[in-house]
Amino acid sequence: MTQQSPSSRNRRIRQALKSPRVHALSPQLRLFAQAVWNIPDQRGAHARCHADLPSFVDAEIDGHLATWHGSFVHEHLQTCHRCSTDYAELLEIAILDSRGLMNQRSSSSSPNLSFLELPHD
Amino acid sequence: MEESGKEQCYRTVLNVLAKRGWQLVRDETGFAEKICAELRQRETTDTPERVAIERATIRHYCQVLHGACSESGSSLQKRAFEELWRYLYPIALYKTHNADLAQDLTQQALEKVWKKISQCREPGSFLSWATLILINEIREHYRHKGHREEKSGESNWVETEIVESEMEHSDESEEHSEFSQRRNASIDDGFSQAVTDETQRELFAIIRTCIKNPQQQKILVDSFFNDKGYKEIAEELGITVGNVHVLRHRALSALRKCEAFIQFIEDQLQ
Repeated sequence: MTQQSPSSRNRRIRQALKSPRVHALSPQLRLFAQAVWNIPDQRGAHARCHADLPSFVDAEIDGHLATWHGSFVHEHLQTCHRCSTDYAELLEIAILDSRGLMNQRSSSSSPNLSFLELPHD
Repeated sequence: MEESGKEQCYRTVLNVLAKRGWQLVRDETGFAEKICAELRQRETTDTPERVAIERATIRHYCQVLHGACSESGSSLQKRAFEELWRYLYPIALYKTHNADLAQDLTQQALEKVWKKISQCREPGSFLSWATLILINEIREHYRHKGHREEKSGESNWVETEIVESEMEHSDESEEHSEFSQRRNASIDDGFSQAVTDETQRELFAIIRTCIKNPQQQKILVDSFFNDKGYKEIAEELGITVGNVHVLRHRALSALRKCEAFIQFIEDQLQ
């Protein structure tokens, strides 16, 4: 048997994880392996994840994360580094806010709200 | 005289509104009544009562704020966007450490919120939705600049903490540190909770072989096999959620290069 190089082994695993062969793995192991090799799932997944991410993070702060187990956003966050980075950043802000560390009632700066006069697309 | 639970609930709701400077509620008593009635029905026991009231108040206020931001051309809409500014600007300042830049990025985020408000799927999470828009504005800004300098002197938002955390870990005497014994016991507990069959037992043995850092081992097992979120894992390890995220990413990268793990996955895919 010829010795395969690490890069060709990694390439073959990546291909297998994108193919129907992936179903040979248990659901948990499939997600885990896809996370290790950063295998993206279906098209439009990031946008779909972003739409649900605020509610997901709020549920985690409320202590109700269990209601999201097995959901699309929960699984996508396991495998997608990009979306899990957004999750970590949003969660960090939410935790600081829940501890009263973000709330500043007064600010010397103010917004320019002239855009509110424009026609809405 | 002892304050009744109902009065205490009302007072907590009104305190949240006052503390945060939220002024869009027209009938504050009615608003508090609605929240307190909802909480009485739900009888939540998993979070402390005061915290549950505060969270419910924020969720209900998000709906009010979302409604007001959607009222085109009204004075209420203008006040709502001013409140949203007061919420987002400190976040931008925290992320950038630069008042002028924070002002510009918050302004851009407000305009995006206005354009995309119909895409907000859950008005009760409106503030988190707007925060996510701001986070993306900040990231885009640094991406365009071509380098990361979110905080002066740091390579990224959590890297310094990670390095410090790992240094502390390597300095301690593993055999004699009470904390490290407790932590390792907690990690063992995480492994045993997660094991459901022989394949997982084998996988966890490989994780222990490939990943030397016990924190990284725990993060992988809890995140993927014990269904824990970053917040819970961070609290158990006494680190930030940013640390959890980076340590998890590093552990996944290490597994990708570990012969024992590669062989295990190849065998499973046969």
